[in-house]
Amino acid sequence: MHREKILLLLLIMTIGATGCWDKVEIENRAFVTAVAIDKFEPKKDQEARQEEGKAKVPEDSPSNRYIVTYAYPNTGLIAGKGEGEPRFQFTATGKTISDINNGLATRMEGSLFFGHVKLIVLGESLAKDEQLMREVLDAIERSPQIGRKISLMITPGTAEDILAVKAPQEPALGLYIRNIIEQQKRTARIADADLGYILRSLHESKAAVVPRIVASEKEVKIAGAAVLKDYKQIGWLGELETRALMFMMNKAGQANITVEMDKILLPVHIYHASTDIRIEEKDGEIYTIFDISMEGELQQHLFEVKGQTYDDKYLKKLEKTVSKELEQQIQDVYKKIQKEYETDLLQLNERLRKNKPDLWEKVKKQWDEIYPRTKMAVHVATEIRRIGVSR
Amino acid sequence: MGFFDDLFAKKKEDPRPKIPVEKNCEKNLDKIKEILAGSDDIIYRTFFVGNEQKMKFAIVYTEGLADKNLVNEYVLKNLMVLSRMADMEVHAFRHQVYEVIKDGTLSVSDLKEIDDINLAIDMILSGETALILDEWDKLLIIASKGWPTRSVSEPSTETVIRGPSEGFTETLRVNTALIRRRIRDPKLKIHQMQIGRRSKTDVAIVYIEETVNKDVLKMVKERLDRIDIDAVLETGYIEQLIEDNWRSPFPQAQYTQRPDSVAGSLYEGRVAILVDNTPFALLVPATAITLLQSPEDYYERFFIASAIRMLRFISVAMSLVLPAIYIAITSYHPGMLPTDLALYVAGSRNNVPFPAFIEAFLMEAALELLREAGIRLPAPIGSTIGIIGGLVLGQAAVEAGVVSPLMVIVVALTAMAAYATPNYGFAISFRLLRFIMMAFAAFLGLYGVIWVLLVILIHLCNLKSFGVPYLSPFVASTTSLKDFKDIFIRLPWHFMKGRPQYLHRMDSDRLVNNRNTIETEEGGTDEKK
Repeated sequence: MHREKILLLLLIMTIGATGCWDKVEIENRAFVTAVAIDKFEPKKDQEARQEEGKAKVPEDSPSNRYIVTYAYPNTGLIAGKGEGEPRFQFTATGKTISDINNGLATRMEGSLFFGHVKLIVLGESLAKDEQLMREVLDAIERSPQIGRKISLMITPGTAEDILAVKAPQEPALGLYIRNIIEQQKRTARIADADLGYILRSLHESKAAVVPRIVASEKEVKIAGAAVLKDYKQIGWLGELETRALMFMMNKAGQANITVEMDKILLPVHIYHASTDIRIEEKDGEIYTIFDISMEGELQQHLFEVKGQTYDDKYLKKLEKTVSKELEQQIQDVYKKIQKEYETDLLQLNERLRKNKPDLWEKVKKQWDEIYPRTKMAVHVATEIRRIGVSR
Repeated sequence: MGFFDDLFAKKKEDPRPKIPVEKNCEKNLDKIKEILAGSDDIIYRTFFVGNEQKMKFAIVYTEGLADKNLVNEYVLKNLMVLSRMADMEVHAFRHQVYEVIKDGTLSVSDLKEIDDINLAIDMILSGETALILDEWDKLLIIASKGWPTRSVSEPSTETVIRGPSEGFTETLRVNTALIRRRIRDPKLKIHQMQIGRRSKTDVAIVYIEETVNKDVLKMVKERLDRIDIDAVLETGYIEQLIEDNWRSPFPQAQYTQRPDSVAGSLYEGRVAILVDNTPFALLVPATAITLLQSPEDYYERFFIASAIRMLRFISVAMSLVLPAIYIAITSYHPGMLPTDLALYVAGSRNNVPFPAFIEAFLMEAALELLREAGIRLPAPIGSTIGIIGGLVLGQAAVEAGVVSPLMVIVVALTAMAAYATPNYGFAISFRLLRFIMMAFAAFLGLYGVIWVLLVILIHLCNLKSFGVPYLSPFVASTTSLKDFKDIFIRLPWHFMKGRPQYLHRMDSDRLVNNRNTIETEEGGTDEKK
């Protein structure tokens, strides 16, 4: 009997000891869908803000290091019964992100909820500061609410401006951006924005590629990518460069490659591409070999040029030209990231560790020096599966 | 079993001692009149028999319960008129007159001799006719039960689309006949007894000797024997007195109004308990799975039957947890919803003055009220209540902003799910648990929901119905994989060759002639087994 009582007591204690203490009714939460984090630059920032008539940042204080902006949608409007602005935005400055969150609690009626954050934008000035960048990345990774499937992006200007974009279609900016990211499946020009990938890549190879986001008044454009090395941004890649990189990383969904042949412009829509990366050691040199096989569809030829697209030899020639074109782009980009940036964006070190552990044992200590000297080969095999409707 | 020992240990002896029948008609009649004094519906009729009109006989019966025609035509007429025509040699028959009357005069099929007046009174009160003979120490009981009964009609509780529309009536004999019609097997046993010190209600234990689980049968008999109550008005009395665990919210016996469902259960090896004066029969042992089955499962083709059965499992889960999950997610875990939905829910709950728990509790309580009101009112008005409550109240509540539209959807879904459960008693237990679950969800979130689910699961694992685990075939040691042919899905008949293993049945062959041989007979493909 005594034992049973103790057991009962223990059981009851488990109810109190664990469980959910953070009860907030759903309508009292502010569902932050997008977060913008900028570096606080004292004088310049204040003056600029005054001119643009933005919310006034509190007194210049030496302890301020970040400007954080949260955007959350007016949920009443989504359910079709509220009114007012489609989106609310709060900006605050502070020493650390958690300081800022605490400070914001004094200004907002709801409590901040980060479970539905879809987008985190970092300003370029922040991304280039290693110390701040590492703090921010750790804060993001440590938060149990923020998911790993959200998008992390870097903007050349200030991140706050991205959140100010008045996208007419969607009150929740994060969802709007997410929908754009979905387009990644249709174009390879957007780098992989998955936070999980970026964090993992930074952990494993100290390098990652993060999409670039640019804002205008009513829309945003996501194209190109920022290159991170040693936890900070060191440069940009253009749209086509990003596309080539995505092909190398086996992340290219769909792409358009246009080649010129016999003075005819021929756009080929690649709807499937898969990349096989191998690393081989030969004569003391390390080779990275990219084997890309693609399937595509000819989308345009020239009116009233008959017979050519039915000619097998012609198509073979076209396939070869497309392959050459992509091979050239890939070689250029590879050279850029290898020689110019000296970053292991393709995570070759991880590939070596997993697939060639013996070789990795030999090179792991001087990998940073060996990597820029490794050689590469790329082979693209294109197959034109469809030529469209033709007479 | 300790509980039963406590409850039934002090079974009282029959307080009435036996009253022997005397050899004097007058005295016997007086005694009966004395015991039945004040009952004006008892008919006494004394008359004289024989050429010389010297023998004084009397009959006693209850008006309304006994078949007057039968008594007049085949008892009184034979004794009073026809016996006079017989050329009775008085001396030759003098010492045999009672045998002659019993075996040669009364043209009724069911006759009993008894020598206890108290027993005779029981018989008279259940509709039999007592014939008191002069100078003989026994009474003749003539089976003359015949009272107006409700005709066999469609059961009101378990309607099916396909299947017989016969339902039990309030007369035990009709009910046993309905079962007997479905089981023309000499092994079908109908063991009858009387329960109730005052009511003397007829109770029948029905089973098929070769398929029944002997342990269950023994337990049923023991427990029924131990019941000592003044009256049994419905099977519910018996169910509550013989169930294994009275603290459990779950019913441990299944009740049904359908003879086909009783017959089906008997073939599976279960035991049926029928009680006079109620159209509901009890089926034991009941398991969670049997309570989720409908006779139609076996009549429809197996695709449809299986799909509907799985729908039923989902509906049970929904009726239990849906409001609780709504509360838990809106109050604690909005991160678990897809973003679009979370934003919509938050928006639809804007300006709702109550927290989710109060809101859900109010709506669920309103629903239960509505249901109760609908049952109490006569059928034509009942539907009006449904419209007022469901449409007007729900619509008004949403428009007034007191509850969110999503809550109304949740409540409506829960109600529909609860009504989709075939067994009403089983559905009620889930309805009760739903409120407990909602309370736990309100202060512990999903953790509380899981907590209550675990407690329920532990309880269910522990629960037995007449020695058979309630969660059979999931927990029983006698379970075999074969039992799962008829749990989540119902396999086509030609796969179900055995009876359920978890009932420890004896004659396990259910379907001997399998489909392949049938096809061969029809000239189809000659498949080998």
